[in-house]
Amino acid sequence: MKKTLLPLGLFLLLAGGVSFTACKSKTKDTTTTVETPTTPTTTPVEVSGDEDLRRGVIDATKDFPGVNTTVNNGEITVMGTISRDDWMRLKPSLDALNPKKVNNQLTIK
Amino acid sequence: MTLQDKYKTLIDTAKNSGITNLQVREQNNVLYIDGQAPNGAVKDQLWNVYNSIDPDFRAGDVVLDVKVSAQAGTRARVTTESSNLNIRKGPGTDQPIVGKAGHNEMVTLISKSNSQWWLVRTQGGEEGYAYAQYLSPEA
Repeated sequence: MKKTLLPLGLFLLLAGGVSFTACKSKTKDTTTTVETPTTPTTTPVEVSGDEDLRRGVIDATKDFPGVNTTVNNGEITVMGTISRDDWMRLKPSLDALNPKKVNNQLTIK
Repeated sequence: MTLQDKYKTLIDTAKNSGITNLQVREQNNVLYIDGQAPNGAVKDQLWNVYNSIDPDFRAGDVVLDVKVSAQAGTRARVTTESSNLNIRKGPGTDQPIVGKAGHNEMVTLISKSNSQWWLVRTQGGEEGYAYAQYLSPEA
C-alpha cells in the first residue's frame, strides 16, 4: 500500500489557517449630540375652564340686563345692547375671568 | 403688523406706570397683558389707552387683566355707576344679600376671596362679599 495520504494531510493542515477578519468589531461612534435648549422664555397663558367662565360671566353681567353671553372653548361671546359706559365697565370684568378671548358682538348705544 | 406693534402704546404705558409682575404674551393671535397696578388710576389709564387703539374693543385681540394691588385693611371706594353695591353672604351673585354699601362710600377690605370677590366691612359694620370690579382701593 502506497503512502499517498501524507501529502494530502499536509495540504489540509496548511489550508486550515484561515483568519476570520470579518468579525473584527467596528470602532464605536463616541460623538454625542448636543440638545438645543427649548426652555420657553414665558409661561403659556392660563385660560379658565368653561364652567368657571360661565359662573364668572353670570356675576359679571348681572347688572347689564340687555346683554347675553355664550361661553365656548374658553371664548366669551357678548351679544345684545349696552351703553358705551357700561361696556367700559363690563369688558374689564370679563378679561379678569381669564378667558381665551372676548368676542364683541354688541350693539353699543 | 404684529399685535405687539399695534398695541405698542398700551404696552409702553404698562411698562412705564409701575405695574408689577407685568406679563405681555401673544398666543393664538391674542395679546394677553397681566399685572398688578399700584392704584385704580393706572388701571383706568390702561383701559383708556386700549380703547383709543381699538375703539369699543371690537377686535377682540387683547385680554387686559390688570388688577389693583390691595392689602387687607386697605380702604376702597364703591365705584358703582350710581346705585348701591350689594354685600353678599358668599362670593357669588347667587348668594343672599346681607347688606349694601352706598355709591362712593368707603369700605374696608378684609380679604380677597378671589379676583372677583372681596370680603369687605362697610361703614355700618356689615361684613360680606362685594364684587371687586366696583371697588377702587385707595392708598
